[in-house]
Amino acid sequence: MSGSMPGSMPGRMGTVEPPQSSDMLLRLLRVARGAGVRISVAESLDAFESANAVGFQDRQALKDALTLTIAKTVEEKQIFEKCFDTYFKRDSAPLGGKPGDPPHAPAASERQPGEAEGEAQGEGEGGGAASNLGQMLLNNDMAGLAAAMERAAEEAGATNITLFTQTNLFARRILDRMGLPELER
Amino acid sequence: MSTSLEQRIPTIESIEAGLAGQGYITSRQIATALFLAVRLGKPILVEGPAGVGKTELAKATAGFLDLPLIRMQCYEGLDESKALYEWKYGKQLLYTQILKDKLGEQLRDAADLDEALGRLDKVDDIFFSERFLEPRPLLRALKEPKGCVLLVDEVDKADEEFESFLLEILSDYQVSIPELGTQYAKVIPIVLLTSNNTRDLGDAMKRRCLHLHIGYPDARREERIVATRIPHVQASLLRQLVHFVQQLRTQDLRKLPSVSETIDWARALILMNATQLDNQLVQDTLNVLLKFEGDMTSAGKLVGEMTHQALREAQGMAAK
Repeated sequence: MSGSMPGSMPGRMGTVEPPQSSDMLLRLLRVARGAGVRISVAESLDAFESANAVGFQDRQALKDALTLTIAKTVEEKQIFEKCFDTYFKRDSAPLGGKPGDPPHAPAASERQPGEAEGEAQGEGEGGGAASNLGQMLLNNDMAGLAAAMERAAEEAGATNITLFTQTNLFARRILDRMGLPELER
Repeated sequence: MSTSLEQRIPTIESIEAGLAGQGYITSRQIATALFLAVRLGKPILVEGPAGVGKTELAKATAGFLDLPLIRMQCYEGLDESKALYEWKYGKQLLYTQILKDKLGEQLRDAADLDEALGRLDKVDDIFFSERFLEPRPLLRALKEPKGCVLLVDEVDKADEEFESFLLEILSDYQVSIPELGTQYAKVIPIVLLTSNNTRDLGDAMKRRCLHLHIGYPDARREERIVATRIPHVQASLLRQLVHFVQQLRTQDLRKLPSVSETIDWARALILMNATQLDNQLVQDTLNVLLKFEGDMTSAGKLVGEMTHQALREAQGMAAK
């Protein structure tokens, strides 16, 4: 199964490479769901409509619009706003290195979990996450964890999972990318 | 019309400015909610503590967009006939009486009962026409030719059955009247639902609405709000009283003072010719801000300290 994976990865990554706003929004929604905001399919559609209405240029307007559309309680609003901030913090910080990253990622998903650690440090972006993992756990930072998990899953190619027996393998890969080895050391 | 409504509020800033023109100082989020409501054709569910301007928002919006405001106050036991439409039963009866002769003429030469019934059938449509229809707020809102702002106030007070009924209308902006057929909205109204959270609204309702939470404003916005409402208030007194109220809100009270209470208090202070806060003055007027005996006693002990702090902060602001 893993033989077919690298073949399909670059193609998928190719479509992601210019960071498209719709992709960005989908991932953000997934992060928010992971952090505990309940979002129905209809609400996701609404989120797209609102984002189109306010545009992607003005980040504050986008944040307000999405919060209005998606989060339906005060608690959800707080969680979502945190997700949003975390999401864009990591999105804007490594912006320069971002286009270069995807080519490494598919290769990394092939390797043994042990090697992934070196990869994470090499990437720089991943290295930052590694030192953050402990911090996020200590602070009970759900939004941050969800964002990190989402990114790690992206890198490990979790969407390519086909057999349920692969669950553990991918879980391990995601944990590695989130910086578990450093935490265990 | 709906396109021109969109054109009239091309940006979020234009809404902020427009509402400010009506004396309503918004936050960015409130303006964004209106902006989206017009473009997505979705109702806005406004939640937040009492007295932060939820109802006021609807009024200001109607004023700013020059649309009629149709208000429906919800209460327990509110049903379709009060919210949607009713047949003018009395008028129907009166007309039947008056037209009795006319009907007799029509039916006299009918050969048998069946034919007479057939002829009556043709006539009774008249009695269930718009002439005898009494539109209630929801139907009125749909029929408004230029669109309107529909305010469904305190939706949490209505029963759950009514909530699901409301849901049906607000999702498609149409309603079916058995005798007349389906009535569509001429122009999709801007719908604002307010809730004070006396009970949790259903998930389905929340999903269909944009959810806007208006909390207590920060000091700067509150100062602007009070200044718009009471233009002749002294700047230094305004800063002091707003800072005092802001501190009061951090206390553990049963009912926190909201913006409307700040405005009332400012009015009271001006009537008393106050130029600045002092311990005695605040003690004497605390009942404008706090509505419970327990709150009064617990806050009363801290008044001196809070007044001092408010004076200091206001001075600090002025110095900047």
